[in-house]
Amino acid sequence: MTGAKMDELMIVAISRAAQLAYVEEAHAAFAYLSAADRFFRYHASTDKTATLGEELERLGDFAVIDGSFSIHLASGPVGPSGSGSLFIKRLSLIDAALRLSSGTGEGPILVEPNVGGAACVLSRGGKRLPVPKA
Amino acid sequence: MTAMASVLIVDDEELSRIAVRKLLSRLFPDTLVAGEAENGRVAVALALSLRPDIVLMDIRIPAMNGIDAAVAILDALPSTRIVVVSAYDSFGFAQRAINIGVSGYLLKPVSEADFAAVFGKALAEVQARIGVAQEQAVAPGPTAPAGKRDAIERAIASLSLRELGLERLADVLDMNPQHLSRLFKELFGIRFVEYSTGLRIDAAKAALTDQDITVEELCRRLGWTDSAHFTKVFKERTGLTPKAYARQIGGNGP
Repeated sequence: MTGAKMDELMIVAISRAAQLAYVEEAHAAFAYLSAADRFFRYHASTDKTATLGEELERLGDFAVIDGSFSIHLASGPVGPSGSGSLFIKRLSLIDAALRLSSGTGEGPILVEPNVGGAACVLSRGGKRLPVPKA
Repeated sequence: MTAMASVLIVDDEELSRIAVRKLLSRLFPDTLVAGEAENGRVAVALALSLRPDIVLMDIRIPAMNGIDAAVAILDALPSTRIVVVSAYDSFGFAQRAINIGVSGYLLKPVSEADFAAVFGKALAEVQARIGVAQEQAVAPGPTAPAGKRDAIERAIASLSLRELGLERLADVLDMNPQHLSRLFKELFGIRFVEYSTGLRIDAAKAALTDQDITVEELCRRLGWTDSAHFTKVFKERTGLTPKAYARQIGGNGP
């Protein structure tokens, strides 16, 4: 089976599991599986770019799935309200988070979209880290 | 509203049909599930016989895919609202769905929040149309202006400012645009374009009080294509440019 087919099968399986959780009124399971569904769809997409807002939303889903780190948004030149119109390389934040999660990367991660400025900081173990100076 | 909106559920997976029925019973208990279909051909046949107000349509279904089934249903029943409920989020599917005029696109697994927003919008359009039809049936002509005015206001409330226009409103109300234009002037005392401009300016003023927003973003949200024209109209109505208005009220606007 090709990687794309496997991705599709996994997404369909997670989607069905989430629907089953909803039907059975397992609300926490539905929320978890919905986060997994959104994350794997995003990860399987072939798009090259995403808005910072999309990437942050899926990063939030990854934090739900992984459970080993937390996300703190820094207020700066790019706040959450501006994240919908900034384009970044898709998965750049998430790949960094995956490295942090697996212990092969170092935090904090400073996201610098093309307008400049700190937008997001990740840390392991739920510890809030100071926002680096832009 | 006195008539109950009817719904046709089209999905080849029983689990998905059960999930949709559960969403309807929890969030929209006043709707009636008129029927269910497991494939596209049965969906079209059932739609033609049941004449549902809203069809919740999966895309990848046997016999005839959901897009083709939706086209067939809309050709025969143009006032029916189609909401796509699919596990596939490809741009191609979404683009085709938009092009044929579906009312909304929901991705499985569907959250209650998303279902409430998308199905609720389609339902509001149906309710507005039913309201006008009932008014016309009970009291044809301009003998029941309050009811017609209420129905038009409900239809306007069901649309976002970005999509609000005479043609779209006429579509929601299942009326001829020219007839609606005359009726609107008769009931409201002003032309529709003046009324909708007033709504947009009010929304712009509200956005400028508490949001960090540019004129371009404001125009995009309000469905205004020309920011220079927006600034001119805003000034005509308020005596200030958007920037000056934001400064005067102490907001952080453009």
